[in-house]
Amino acid sequence: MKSDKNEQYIKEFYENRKSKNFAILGIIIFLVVLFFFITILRMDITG
Amino acid sequence: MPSIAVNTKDITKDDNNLGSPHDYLNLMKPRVMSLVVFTAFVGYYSAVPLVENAINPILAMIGIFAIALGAGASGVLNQWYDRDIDLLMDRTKNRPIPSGKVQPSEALSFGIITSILSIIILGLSINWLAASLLAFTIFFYSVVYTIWLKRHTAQNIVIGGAAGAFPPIIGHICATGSIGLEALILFLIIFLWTPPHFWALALVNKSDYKAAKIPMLPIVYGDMTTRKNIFIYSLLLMPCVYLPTILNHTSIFYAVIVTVLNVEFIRRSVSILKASVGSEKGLFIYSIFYLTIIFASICFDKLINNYITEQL
Repeated sequence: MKSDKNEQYIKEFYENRKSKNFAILGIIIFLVVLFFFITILRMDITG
Repeated sequence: MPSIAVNTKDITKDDNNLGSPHDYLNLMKPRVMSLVVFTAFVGYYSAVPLVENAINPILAMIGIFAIALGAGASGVLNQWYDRDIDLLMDRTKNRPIPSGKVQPSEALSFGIITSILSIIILGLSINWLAASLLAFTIFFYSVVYTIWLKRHTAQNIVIGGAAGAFPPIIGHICATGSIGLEALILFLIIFLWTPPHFWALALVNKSDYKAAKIPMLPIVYGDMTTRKNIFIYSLLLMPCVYLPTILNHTSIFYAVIVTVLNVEFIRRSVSILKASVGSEKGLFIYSIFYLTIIFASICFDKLINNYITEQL
């Protein structure tokens, strides 16, 4: 019974970690795009 | 099975409390964030026509996003430190940390990383003056207010109120690159508005604050002193909201709206002084409406003035 519960926790742990890693990846991509735009706008090449 | 090895024996139920994105958003106090964005935007917009070489509007919007992020980070750090007392109050016991949805260590990491990110984004998009002021605001709210003032003095929200008053100044820097008088007036308005607003809430939630042993004014000095202080601060606030018109930053249109709002504010403050039933909650809700309309009127007034100037 206890082992079943622990397996459930382990399964949930991996699922949660996977979604957390995807969220962090999303944030990193967002920041890369953001810093790219900041650089372009600061260079004032748009006119 | 994922390739990174984890000692599965060490996995406990607590490790699964990573929190959903919604929990992390709640941790950032979204309602406070929206107010900060609004006041920062007013600080920005009221300064836009003042200089010719204004900062690129897209960069300014990125700057306001950074201010919102910084405000959210302050909220996270505040909730991390206050997790013990949040558990004792009905109003806050369902917040992500006391309810066990987010672990304190996760919240602390999130708060620190978000703070640093917001400062870097603001520094790179606007300038390092704005970023320094945002860093100071985060420090002021998380350390000066949350750690030093909140649990130790009855004047906690008076001094701590400055933290909520900085966003319009940063918004002003987003438009002009420097601090101007218009921004200082907006700072003063929020600074004087904060005590009546929070003391009215403290009167409503007195039992909560008492349970958490937070030395709010009604707990330490009683209801009557709080009511008198609300009235005094309301009287101090009333002339200050006319400063934008006195200094020619807004037109008579703004002054008329402010007068109507002031009359109602004073009426409600007198009701508080007389300890009328429901007056505390009434003033608390009205004070939110009051500040929103005052700041919206400053924007609207600028909008009308710009339109008239363009027509001429």
